[in-house]
Order: sequence, then structure tokens, then C-alpha cells
Amino acid sequence: MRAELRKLFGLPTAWVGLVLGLIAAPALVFVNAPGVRRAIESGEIADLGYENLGIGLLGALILGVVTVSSEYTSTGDDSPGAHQMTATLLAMPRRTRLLVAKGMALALVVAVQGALTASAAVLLTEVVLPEYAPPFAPDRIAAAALYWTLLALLAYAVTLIFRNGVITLTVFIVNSTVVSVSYLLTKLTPWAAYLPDIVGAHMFLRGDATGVRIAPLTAGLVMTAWVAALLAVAGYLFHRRPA
Amino acid sequence: MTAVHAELRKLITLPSLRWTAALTWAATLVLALAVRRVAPQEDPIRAALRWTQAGFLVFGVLAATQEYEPGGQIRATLLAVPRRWTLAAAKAVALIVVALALAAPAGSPYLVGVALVGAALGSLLRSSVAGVALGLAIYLVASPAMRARLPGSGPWLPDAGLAAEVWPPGATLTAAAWPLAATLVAAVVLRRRNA
Amino acid sequence: MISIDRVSRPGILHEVSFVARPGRVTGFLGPNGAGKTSTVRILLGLDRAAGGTALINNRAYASWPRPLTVVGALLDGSGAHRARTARAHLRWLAASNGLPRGRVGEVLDVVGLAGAGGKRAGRFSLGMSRRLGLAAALLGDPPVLVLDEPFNGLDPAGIHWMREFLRRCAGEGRTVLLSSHLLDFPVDDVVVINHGRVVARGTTAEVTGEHDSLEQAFLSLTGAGAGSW
Repeated sequence: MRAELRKLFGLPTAWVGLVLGLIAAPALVFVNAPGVRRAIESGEIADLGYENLGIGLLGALILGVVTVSSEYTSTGDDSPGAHQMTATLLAMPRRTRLLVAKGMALALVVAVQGALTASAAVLLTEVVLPEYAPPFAPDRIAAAALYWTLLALLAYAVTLIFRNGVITLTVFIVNSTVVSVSYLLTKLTPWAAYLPDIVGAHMFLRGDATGVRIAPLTAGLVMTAWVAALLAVAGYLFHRRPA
Repeated sequence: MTAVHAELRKLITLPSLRWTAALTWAATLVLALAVRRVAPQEDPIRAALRWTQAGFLVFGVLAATQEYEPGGQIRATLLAVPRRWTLAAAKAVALIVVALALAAPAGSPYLVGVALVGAALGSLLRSSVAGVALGLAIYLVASPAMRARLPGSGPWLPDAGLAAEVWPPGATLTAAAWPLAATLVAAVVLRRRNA
Repeated sequence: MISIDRVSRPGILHEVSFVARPGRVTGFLGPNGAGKTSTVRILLGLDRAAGGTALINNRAYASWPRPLTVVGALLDGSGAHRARTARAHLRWLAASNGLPRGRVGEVLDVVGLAGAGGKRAGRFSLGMSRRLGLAAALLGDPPVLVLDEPFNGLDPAGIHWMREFLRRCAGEGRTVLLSSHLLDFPVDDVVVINHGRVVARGTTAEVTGEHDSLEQAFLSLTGAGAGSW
């Protein structure tokens, strides 16, 4: 586990993910401020500060992806089949433990990152728009951090399944755009609201942009179920595949 | 000319690029169907491309990073075409040809520009994960966010060409300027860098 | 003919000079990290030298319009993308220098990969990868061959095959430059490099001099006494 943390912090791309995740959302609070003042007149103020958190998710996402994809990058040209995973498996032959260690290292980093970013974004909102900011609520911050962690784990699982970071990044980023694909799908079937990204957002957003209301607790449970299911698939495949 | 021929062969015989092209169009069609049910007044293909332009970006990134993947193809490439301006130009021409063919059904030259920007990012970062992350962040996250917050910046953003129904001279210029600048920067770096 | 003239790179190479002549196998020997690969990469235009010139038949590598017809190079790795078949890899290489398609089958035959042309390069063993790299080097039937550590990763049969092959190339009048940290290959001329400086050059007999063998001479020239391995 400590070894996994060290590996994660040794990756340049991981630092990009960290910094992006930490800075983007608070920065958006500033960029947003004028637009938000206008939006306030229309009444949607329950989620001020929180709605900017979506962009910081990119950082969590990148961290989740590089945790795995770095292992599958070849380490040397002389040995076509060699990648870090081979060395890692030799050092830690028990695969399930390895997966757990990696997942825990990732979860720890992202949870801290998420908590810091969410607090920063909400506090900044109070500074920039003191009269409208929602009260500082630790439980909502915790929910947001949990959502980040779960999403990073989701990206981790999907990358493990495909053994390819590009697929995960594309699917997740495309889906995190201003109008997400999942949101489009909710217009076709209300069940699409239970797709991981939308259901997850209900953990800390109170507004109902999707038209479907899901209680935060239910949302958290559904999201956790998604992560658990995909991690299980990833673990099963990882166990069976040759390194 | 021979260098362009070689680069075309490289693009055509790489399985990951074929997959990217196929998945991009499959996703575009599925989303277009969804858009038609949800918002019948919109052009479904154009609306779907708001998301699936990502496929063109990924295509460009992978076209460039294939050189830096295990096996060391970049060395074979530079030994065969040691003049780096020639190589950079051949790569750009080959990618434009293939991307034009891929974008033809949408009738949007803008998508060719997206692929070129992807290729420039891939060539600069030499990593498909980093290139895709940065490229998608620019096109799908930062640009729409900027447009929403500062509507005045709209015509200057890299994705301006996608929204443009008709092509006023300004939009054409912006749409061409981003890929051109990115490609030039990547070519200069390719020339200066030790392989 | 390869002529390296006072090639320098700060901290790596100091005024390296030597020539490799047609019809002879020139061994470019030195311990790991001595500057062999760096010299070869400068010769092939992959890296830039801070000073000096490295010419092949009196022209810099990058100034040849169809370099594969002049120099065949084998560096580490096969140079092929894992997902591409051996044949597809050689075909784009042939196309890049306007070589006839038929050469692809011919060179696959020469290196003993005739049956593996449709296999993806990523599925090749280390030895097969080296052979594929060599096939690429031979595509343009070049008069000059530059090989960086060609024996790395080869099994005994592969090493034997490579030795015979390089001998034959020199016999056909080609210039063969072979960089290696191994000494079990009969070479005609020797250049010994250590810490980025040429410490000896000449025919094998000249460099061996008073010593019992080329290996003894090499060890004393590079200051690697017995036991330091």
C-alpha cells in the first residue's frame, strides 16, 4: 500500500491530475461569479459552489486511470512484453491484495483531494458571493469527497477491465461535458438517472436538473453498487488474465 | 510523396485507429437517434458530434503517439525519413487525407482540425493518456465552459467551427488557426528534439 | 565508408574520430555507457552533436534523399509497432523510400521470418524482434550496415546466425559497423571507446598488440581489471 502510494506520486501524469483536480473547481468559482450573480435571480441557489465541483472530477478521473495505465506501459524496447505490471506482480504476487492496495492508495489520495477542493470551492463561494452562499455543511462536503472517490474507483475499475486508459478517459470526459450523454439518455428513459455519473451527483447536489429526484442516501448506495460491481468484474478479469 | 504514402500506410494498418474510427461513427449514429427523439428541431448528426468529436481527437492523438509506443517506431520512422520538416509535413498531409474521408459523412472540415490538434498534442506529450486527457479537457470541458461564462469568447474558441452553421470568415479563420498553430508547434518541437 | 571526425557532445563524447571501411567488419567496442550508442545515434541523425561531423559515403545521413538505400541500421527494439504485422511494418518502410514491394518478402526470407510476416510484432520473441529489425535494415539493400548491440537478446543459434550473416555482408563488400560490449566476434578493425574518448583504433592485430588476446587488450585499455565485473 505504501509502495502503491509512492508509485502514484512518482508519475508526472498523476501530478497533473492532482493539480487539475485541486485548482480547477475553485478557479471556476471566480470565473463563474458574474454569471452566477445573474443566475441567482432565477432562484437556483441551493447548489452554489457545489456545481463547480464537476470539473475537478477530471483530476480524480485522471488519477484513477493512471493508477492502472502506468502499469501497462512498456518499460523497455528490448523486451516487447515487459511492463511495470510484470515487476509489480513479481514483487506482490497475490493479485487480489495488489488490487486492494492500489484501490486504497487511490481512494485515499482522491478523498483528501476531494475534501480539500470541495471545502475550498464552498469557502470561496462564501467570500465571492457572501450573501447567497449556502451554509458550510460538512456532511455535503463529505458526500462530494465520497462521490469523487467513488468515481475515481470507477475509472480505476473500467481501466483495469479494458487495460486501456484512453477508452476510460474518453467515455468519462465525454460524459462529463456540459450536457452529458447520460442526461440525454434520461430523456429517453428515466432509468438512465441511475447511471453512475448522474446518480452520483445526487449525493451532494440538491437541485434537480435531471427532473428525477433521488435521495442522497439512495444515490450513494446505487453509486457504491456500481463501483462494487465493476471492481468485482475487474478483479475477476485481473485474476484470470496473464500479466 | 513517398513519405506521405508511408504515413498513410501507417494510419491505415493500425488496428487501434480502425477501432477508433468505427466506434466514433457507431456512437455518432446512436446519439443522433437519441437527439432526434429528444430535440427533433436540431440537426441530429451535428448535435451528436458535439460529443463524438472526441473520437476525432482520439484518432489524432493515437495517430501521433503510435510512434512513441513500445517497439520504438519513431526510430524506424526517422531513419526512413530523416528530414524532420518533410516528416512533419507528410504526417500532417496523411492525417488530413484520412480525417477528411472520416469526416465526409458529416460534411464538417472542422473535424479534420480536431484530429490535427489531437495529433499535435500526442506528438508533444508522447503519451496517449496525457494527450487524450488534455485534448478532451480543452474541447469538451474548457471550451463549452468558457462559452457559457463569457459568451464573447465564443468565436475564438477551438471548438467554434462545430457550432458554426454557416462559415463567416472569422469562424473559418479561428477553425483553421488552432490546428495550424498546434501543428506548427509540434513540428518545431519534433525538429529540435532528440528522438 | 563511415567517417566520424571529432564528434563531441558535452559530458558524453569528446572528439571521437574513426573510420569504418568497405569490405570490413569494424568493431566499435566499449563498456556500457562509454558512448557507443550516442555516437551511433549521431551518425544516424537521431541525436545532434555539439561539434564535429559524422558522414556516410561523404554525406550526412539526413541529407541522403533515400537513406534506406545507403545505410541499414539496427538499433534496440524492432522499430515496429506492436499491433502491426511484420509485413505491414516493412511495407510502410519500403513505401517511405520508394522501394519495390517485392523487397518485403525477400528480406523476410533472408532473416528467416518467411512464415511470420502476418504475425503482429508484439507477439514476436526477442530473437524474432531482432530479426525483424534486421529485415528493416536490409530493405534498401544498403552498402553500409550500422548495428548497435546486435547480439543482445539472441540465443546461441541466433548469435551464430548473426555472425555468419555479418561475415557474408562484409564479404560482399559492404561496410559493417558493429557496436558491442561483447568481444566474441571476429572483427577486422577495432575502435575502443571509454568514457567518451577513443582509446585505441586499428586492425585487430594492432589493437591486440602485446596482449594475449583482444579481450585482454580491451580490459587493460578500459581499465576494467579482472574481478571488477
